Amino acid sequence: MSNAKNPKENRKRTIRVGALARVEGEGALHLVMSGSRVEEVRLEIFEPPRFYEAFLQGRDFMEVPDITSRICGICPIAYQSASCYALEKAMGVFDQLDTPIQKLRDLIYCGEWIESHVLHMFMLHLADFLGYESAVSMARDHGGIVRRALRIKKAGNAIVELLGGRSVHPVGMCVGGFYSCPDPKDAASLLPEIKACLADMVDLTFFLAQKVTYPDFKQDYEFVALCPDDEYPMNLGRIKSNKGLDVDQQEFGEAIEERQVEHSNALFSAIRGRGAYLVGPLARLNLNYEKLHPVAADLLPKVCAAVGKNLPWDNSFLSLPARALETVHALALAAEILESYEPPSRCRIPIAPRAGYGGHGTEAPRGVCWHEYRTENDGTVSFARIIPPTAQNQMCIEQDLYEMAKQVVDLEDEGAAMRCEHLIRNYDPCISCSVHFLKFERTWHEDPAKSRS
Amino acid sequence: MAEGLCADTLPGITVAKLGTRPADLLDHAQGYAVLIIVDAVCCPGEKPGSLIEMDWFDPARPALKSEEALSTHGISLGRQIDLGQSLEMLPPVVRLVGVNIVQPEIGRLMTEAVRKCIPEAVRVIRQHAIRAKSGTE
Repeated sequence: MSNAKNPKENRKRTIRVGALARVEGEGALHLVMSGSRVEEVRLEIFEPPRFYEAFLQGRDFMEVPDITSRICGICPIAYQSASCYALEKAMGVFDQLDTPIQKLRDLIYCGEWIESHVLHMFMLHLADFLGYESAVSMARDHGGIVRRALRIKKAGNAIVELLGGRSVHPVGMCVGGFYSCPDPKDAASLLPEIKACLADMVDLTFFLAQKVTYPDFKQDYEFVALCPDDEYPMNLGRIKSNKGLDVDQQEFGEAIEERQVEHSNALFSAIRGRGAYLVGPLARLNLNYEKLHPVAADLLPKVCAAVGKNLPWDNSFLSLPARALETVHALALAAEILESYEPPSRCRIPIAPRAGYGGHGTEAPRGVCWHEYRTENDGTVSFARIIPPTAQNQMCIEQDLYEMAKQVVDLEDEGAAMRCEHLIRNYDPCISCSVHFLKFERTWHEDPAKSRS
Repeated sequence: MAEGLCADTLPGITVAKLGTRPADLLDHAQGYAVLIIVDAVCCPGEKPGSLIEMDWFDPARPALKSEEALSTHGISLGRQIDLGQSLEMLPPVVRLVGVNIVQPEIGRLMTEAVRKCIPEAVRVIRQHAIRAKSGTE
């Protein structure tokens, strides 16, 4: 079509979503196109800095997990566990953590994955794929699906409450283990519901694989995740990628670099010397699928067949079935741990404060959450650094948006913005603690260069 | 306020603190006759610290300033109540008991005017609870 027939071909087009909806925190999308050429893509994070690293300095090391858990209302366990492991390294007790304590840490993490993944899949993201404005409008046609999802989310919260004392900002985990361990009767009483939810989640995974159409989209991602030798990643393991990264936990901070960019209050992370990388369920699944719990492993080939794509999945829209498989994994693992639960001989390792250093990441629902601390002789924190998953994914999100912008060039602004927002939600970005409604602006400018040609 | 309500437990009444997670409302709402939402509210024209009471489903109740106000992941209390109603997961009676504030801001401490209203709010909530228990709510 010639420019004369399509005047938009001559125009510079700015698409701006002033506040992203159905994500955690305050972010915006800024896209500038000249005709079919994408000129500029920005994921703007304007949530004010929260200075956690600064006000952790001078605190006693035992206070840290309860403070870092406040970073996120949805994934507090990720922040607690990463800070606990890093400080256990700093205190020299990391290698003394018993298997029962590790299992309880896996169990509480299962609760967080279940609650967070189900919230994202069924309350925030599925509506995009099925063409609804929100979960509320989706529920009018798919009430059964949403009811089952809410039941599973509640079960996830119950697991967190069992070990954390409460599901919102739990307080049970501490450096060295847990402040107390659950009563076996309380653990046993959860088991029937977890098993029922597992059966439900298997059904819902089939629904997501069979009834949802996933847009064609492909990128050459560098997937980064924890890769333990003998289990699906959650708390432990070296950090590896599909493009050669293979580092000990302590070295991860050196393997990446963080950059400040003008349009974001969150630092952009990149693999040193290479660039963008992706963390989260897609990375975990692609790098660790053979370690899924047998119940989830059994589902995997059926899900791959239903979505028409074998692993590795290089389409960020497939993060939805990846989350579903991980939720099945987490429910099955939680059932297994609860079934064999006996109170450990000790809930936590006694710790003598010392000067030390520790770096450790765990797998938050959205990807690697890496913490680094230095302590003084009395256990006071002298340095803290926290690298959250969404900061690590920002560059990938922008690269995805650049590709998506080329695909939506023929759409009207509103449709184009919706597709871009949908793409951003593939990452379940967790920017911070409050969200605004969608404020959409669009402007059209004559492009003088094009007009002259 | 939750501490005030828990201090002298009434049978059949459960107090649930949602903290920053309105998305968990439906975890707690099923199996009861009445749901009372207790929250800070912004009512233009009302003094800070004044008590606001309303039946959520009353067509004449004032509209919320924003359905999305102060929510995580875009799931506000208002949205959750809509969702619960759509899924028939709510008690037949849903009331809001709120204390009027000037401006919701993260990090700001509760003002004295709002704090002073808490005992009265607790008393009103308990009255509703007693009426619900006796079937007169």
